[in-house]
Amino acid sequence: MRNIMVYLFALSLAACHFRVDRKQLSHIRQLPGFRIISVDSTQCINTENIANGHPTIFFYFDPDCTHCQRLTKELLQHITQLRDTKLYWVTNGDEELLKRFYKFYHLDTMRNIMVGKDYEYSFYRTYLPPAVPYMAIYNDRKNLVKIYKGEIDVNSIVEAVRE
Amino acid sequence: MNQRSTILTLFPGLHKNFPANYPEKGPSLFVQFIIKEKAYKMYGYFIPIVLAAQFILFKILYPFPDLLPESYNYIDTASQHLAANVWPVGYGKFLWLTHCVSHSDTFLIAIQYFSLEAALVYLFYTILYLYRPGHMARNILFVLLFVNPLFLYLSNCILPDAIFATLSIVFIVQFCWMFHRPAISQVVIQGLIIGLAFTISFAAIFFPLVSVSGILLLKRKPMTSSIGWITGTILIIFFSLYTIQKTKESTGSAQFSVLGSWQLANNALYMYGHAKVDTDRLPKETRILDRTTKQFFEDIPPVQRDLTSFAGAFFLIVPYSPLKVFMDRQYKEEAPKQFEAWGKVAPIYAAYGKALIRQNPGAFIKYFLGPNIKNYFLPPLEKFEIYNLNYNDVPTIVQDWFDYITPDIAVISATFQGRLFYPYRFIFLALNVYFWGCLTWFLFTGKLKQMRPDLRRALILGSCFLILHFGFNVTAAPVVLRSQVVPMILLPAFCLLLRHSKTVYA
Repeated sequence: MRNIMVYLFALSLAACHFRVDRKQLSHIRQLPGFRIISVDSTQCINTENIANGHPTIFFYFDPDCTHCQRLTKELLQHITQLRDTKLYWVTNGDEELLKRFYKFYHLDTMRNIMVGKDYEYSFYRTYLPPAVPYMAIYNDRKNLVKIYKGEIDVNSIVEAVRE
Repeated sequence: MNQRSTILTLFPGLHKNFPANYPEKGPSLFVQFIIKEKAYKMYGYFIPIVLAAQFILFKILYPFPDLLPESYNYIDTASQHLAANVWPVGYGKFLWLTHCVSHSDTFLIAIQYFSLEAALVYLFYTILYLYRPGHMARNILFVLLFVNPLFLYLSNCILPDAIFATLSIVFIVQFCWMFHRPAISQVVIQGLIIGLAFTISFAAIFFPLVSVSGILLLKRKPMTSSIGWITGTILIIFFSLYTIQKTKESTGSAQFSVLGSWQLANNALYMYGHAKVDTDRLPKETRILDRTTKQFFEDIPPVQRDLTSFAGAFFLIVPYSPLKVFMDRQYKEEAPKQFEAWGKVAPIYAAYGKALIRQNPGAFIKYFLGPNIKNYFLPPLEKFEIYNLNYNDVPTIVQDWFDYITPDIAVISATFQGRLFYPYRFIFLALNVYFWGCLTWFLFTGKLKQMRPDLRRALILGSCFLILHFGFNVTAAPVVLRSQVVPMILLPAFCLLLRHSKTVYA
């Protein structure tokens, strides 16, 4: 009987162990509040003020990262499929490189794209991305649909937005 | 026409052995036996409870499935609706079917686990009904089949092994019934199983041979008994032709198995470092590949080319293997077109593998077959050694397929399974020694002849299956523990019957 009790206790500990990940996820299941500032520092966005009605993508990147550059290029090629989606390019990278990145991909001309700096590291602290590229996709009711890590197929992003 | 007269019309030779109390209508004797027989009734209560409890506990500890790079290929087949891929497409279609019902990984794992256990229940009751083993043997068999973690871990993998084992078990059990009381349904089921199993794994290529040995043992109405064999062979031919056509459409060359060609070259390369290769006698199209191979053996330090790692599949797995390097140089393709790249080089690899083996048959036997025979009897743990190759996340294709929000996965311990299954290697060796030792003893003392005919035939058929399984695995495939699951079920079952059955002799 005593052995059974010890076994059950170990099992419940194991069950708690798996809850840890879910707990972290619970913070971001509904779009959390964090602030980003636009490249030219004229606009500050608080995600709490983002209205419902459109899916939202947060693409955490580094302007110097080749995977991020490739993914950006592919996303822009599929931009018509994402025309009803709000896309936020978020970075903690170098400001000069960011400006060049912004100009090079003509991101200033895209109506539904905003490129910004995570100036308070609030995005980073909320999501703890292990590496770039990192992507958080929310649906039109601001519920988390997907977290993608690393370079991925754009079709997966398009599919996730449609969910 | 009732059950009794149908059977007797098909197999008139049965009149002598046919039980007088065979029911004209209603549940068969077998079903009545399961439900009513006092000594065996308890198992009917225990089995569902034990299986459900184990599955729930296991899924608490292992909430996510276990994967290999091969698994991504199956999911790719399923998600892209591919008609041909590196591995047979049958399991991919099975994944797609379950996906149509539910995207849940637990649902898929449950289907795999309970299908396998259902086949084992069928085997268990068949043994109990047909051969009446003693109390001790029954209980040992119960533990081996229903309290064995091997089946949980196997079913938790996104690999075709659990489904293939299910089909293999039903295939064997059908023969046990045929030897006892043949019926047309058994031969038809057999044929379908052969065809189905072949779409899931090319290892089923030897099933028609097992079927032929079964027909020869049956010695009754060869035409009727051959229906299964004929159906199975037709299905195999049909699926092979279909695969060849679809592979041609994707890769440009008509091939039956892209993986088979890679495997052949991989097998031959095991002896390359020890053999003299006459480049002039190699086919022209393989000479660039041969230069790449030479470069590999010259440039890669021995510590990085330990051929004993990766259980007979070293050159298929390591990214710097000459087969991978040659493919990348010739057909630098991105991942979605991986099959095309694999397929384009496959004819060259098949020709290269054959030429190398023809030039050095002795070295091939010594450096590939020899170690593979050792691997057969002491199978490497491979998939069972570590969970998800010790990664704590999954690729996007898996994340999307199972609708995971994040690619992160968790498990109680990635390494525990390695410790758990380590003794299985030695148990498998011991079972082989015991079974073949017993069989030889029975053969030479004449006891095999005195044995009940149906049990003797089942034993001979099981032995044929094991020998052909050995032949296929040693010569054509990497031998690992997960490919030994069916022998791991059959061997203890037969050992127990030989040792503990009350009705071994006629």
